[in-house]
Amino acid sequence: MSDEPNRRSRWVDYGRNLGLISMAIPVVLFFLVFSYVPMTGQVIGFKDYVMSDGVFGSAWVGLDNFARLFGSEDFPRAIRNTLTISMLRLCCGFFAPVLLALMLNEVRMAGYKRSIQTLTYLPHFFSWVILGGIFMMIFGGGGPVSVGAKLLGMTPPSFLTDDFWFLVVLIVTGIWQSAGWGAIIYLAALSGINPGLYEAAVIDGANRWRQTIHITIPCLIPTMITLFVLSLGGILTAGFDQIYNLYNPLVFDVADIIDTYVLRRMIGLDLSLAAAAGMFQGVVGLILVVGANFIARKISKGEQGVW
Amino acid sequence: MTRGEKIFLIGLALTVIIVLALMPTNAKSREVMNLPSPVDWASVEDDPAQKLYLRWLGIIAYSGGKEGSWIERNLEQRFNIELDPLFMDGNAYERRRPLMLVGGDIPDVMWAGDPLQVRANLRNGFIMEIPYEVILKHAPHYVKLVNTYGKEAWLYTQYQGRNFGLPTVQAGGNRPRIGCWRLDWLKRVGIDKVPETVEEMREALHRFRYNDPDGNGRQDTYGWSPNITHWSLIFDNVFAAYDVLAFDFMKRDGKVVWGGLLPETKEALRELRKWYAEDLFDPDFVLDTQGRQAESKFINGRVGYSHPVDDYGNYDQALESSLWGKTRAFDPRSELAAGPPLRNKDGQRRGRSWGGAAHIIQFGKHLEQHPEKVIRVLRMMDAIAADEALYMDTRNGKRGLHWEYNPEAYLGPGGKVIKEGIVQLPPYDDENRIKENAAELLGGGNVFFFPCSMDPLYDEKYMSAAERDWLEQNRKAEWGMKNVLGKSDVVPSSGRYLGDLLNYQTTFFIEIVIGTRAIDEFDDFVVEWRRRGGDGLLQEANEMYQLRSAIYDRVGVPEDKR
Repeated sequence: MSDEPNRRSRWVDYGRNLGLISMAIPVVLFFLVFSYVPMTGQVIGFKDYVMSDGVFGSAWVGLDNFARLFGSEDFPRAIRNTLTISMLRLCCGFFAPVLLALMLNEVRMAGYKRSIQTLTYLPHFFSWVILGGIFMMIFGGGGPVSVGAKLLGMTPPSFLTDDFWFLVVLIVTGIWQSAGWGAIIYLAALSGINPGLYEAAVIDGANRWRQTIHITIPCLIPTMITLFVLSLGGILTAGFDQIYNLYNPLVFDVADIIDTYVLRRMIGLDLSLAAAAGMFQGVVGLILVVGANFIARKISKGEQGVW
Repeated sequence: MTRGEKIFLIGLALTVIIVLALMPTNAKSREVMNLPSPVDWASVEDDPAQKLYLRWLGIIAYSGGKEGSWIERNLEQRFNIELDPLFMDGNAYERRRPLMLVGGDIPDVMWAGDPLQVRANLRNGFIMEIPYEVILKHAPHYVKLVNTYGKEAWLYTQYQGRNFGLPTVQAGGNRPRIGCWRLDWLKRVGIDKVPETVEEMREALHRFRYNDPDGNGRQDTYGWSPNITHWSLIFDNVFAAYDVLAFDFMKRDGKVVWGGLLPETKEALRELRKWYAEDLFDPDFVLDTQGRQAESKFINGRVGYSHPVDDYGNYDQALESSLWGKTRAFDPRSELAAGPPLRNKDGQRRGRSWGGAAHIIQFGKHLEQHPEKVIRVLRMMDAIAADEALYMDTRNGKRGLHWEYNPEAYLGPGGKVIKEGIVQLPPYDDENRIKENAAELLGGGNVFFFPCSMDPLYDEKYMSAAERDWLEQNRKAEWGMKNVLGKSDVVPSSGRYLGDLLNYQTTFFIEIVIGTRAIDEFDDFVVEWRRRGGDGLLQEANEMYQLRSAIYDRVGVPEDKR
């Protein structure tokens, strides 16, 4: 890096790509101003933040805010709930878009395929404020699900007020809402698969099932790993909008997540505590992402992973 | 990235975190709250001839307000000030205001809803101290108003015995909250009067469930869909009949106690369990956390009782948008009747009220350099409190232009009934036009430029006789039970414990009511509530109660009003 010719050639490179570099400047500035500079504000997690003293004038308090956070009655429960819900989402929901994409990929009638695709990703655009209301009606005590079960002579569980069934509803409706949208990325990946592979497989006598197993799925794995690694980063954010619009006092024990906890604390303008909670979320997310990527690279011997 | 670079980056991140965590802590950090006020009030002169500029963040009910309304100009002329109003809605107040304050843009006059917020503003160095003596000297009429209708509000503005704002009053809040019955249902199931006791209420709800009150031949109606959107609403009407406010501080035998821990609360829960077991509540009431359904289920005839329904306007039969009008749209036979508070075991009616103590007006810290502005505002408040005409101008706008008072109802052009009382004149009979003018023609809300509500100050004069009668029959102020400290969050540790405790109590009580917990688990609740910070709150609440008397002495609340 330090030798002369190398440095000169690098400057020449910069000069040659001046147009591209100038185009990137706004983007770099955007992230600097709106993502990196605000990150320095995280220091208030270690401070007793007094607004009129500013971020840098406030007194340092070491790990006091973290001690306060973990010493409280509800925060450890909120972490537990967040992890439970996120894990369930990952285990049950991660493969749903893959399956949907594979099935859509097998549909031959273009019109049918397109309308199914539209119908499945449509829920993504509905706000949970509306969906929450709809699901409360559907799963409520007087809703069609309960009434139907009663007609069949069964005793329906109280879907939205029983701890276990609430989680079931949460996960299932979450999948319903996001699977269609998630499938779009996989469909894009599917369309990028070299048709030559399928042609060769047909010549070798592979039927459609064999083609799926040996060509389609292996080609999707890099995309799946990327998405998996990225979704691990969000494991401490369990989907605030959905939970906030579906939960009620009776399922507090399983539905109170970090975000709803922080929201309650923000009312008193306790920004230091909120920053500490946010930093905890961020650091754990970073460790998970880096860790998962490391494992992905180890397993695939350096071929796969986000970076 | 090479391996070396990676290790360097990770090392750097770790070092930064460790350094930040180990920064020398200065324990005295910054006791903003204990700094003495630099203002020498005795020497402050407010020269009325000097024009003063006031940036004014009023109550957040006027997000559509426009600068330059008649009310604003009237005040500006009269008090030689220039008002720069900041109109916000709840959302902007929550999100934009903190950024504004952090950026150093602190309004001269600033509204706050809760004591908790005053303490946050104080901690962050946004607001200044105003000694009691200054308020008493420049705003004696205003002080009298607060002392008469909402004296607890003096606790909202104090911190460690010093005063940091001007308390506001909502006199109508002294009246208890009440419910509403489907009178035609009551008649159809053979009940000829509105229920007055817990037993009568249970009987009525029971018949609503099992005696087919809507006469459609199906068992598809329930008694009531209890509203659980806010702790203050959770079965408060039934608790009150047992003489408790389950989610408030109360006074018992000379001490401040938490209503939710009292044996009467357990008895009330025991009764409510029965109601739930008998299927008298709409089974989905717990799900209605946003409060969207409690009213609609009443309107569309699924339940026959609704609570709270406080406003006289709900019973306006001529109006399609009133509760009566909406209910009749579903079922033309609908008749409504107000359900005044239930009677306790001694036959006294009892209902929860918020009390007349309302909110807080604070003054920006920077006014320590311009204390004459504070005095000008105090004088303005005092003039409005003392002068009926100015009060009406500030609240409603100009008489004859924005509103008029009709001593009697009469038939207007086109056969339209012009009601008795205050009526808006066109084009100001449109809700949005009223709000644009930062006026509050009807209803009991607070006003943007003056922090007091109308009734009962001038209700004898400006309310219709019918409404006055209705209030006296159904919402007598003396039936009201209120939190002995006004709002529970006046106790210093409330920010840390109260929110979680209220949540815990809500869940626990509802679980008792719907039977997922045994009634005797109530005793576990009492122990657990105290352990989770409740004991500390109780101790502080008792200290606040002592402090309350000391403050009342200083601001001159008469002995017989305490």
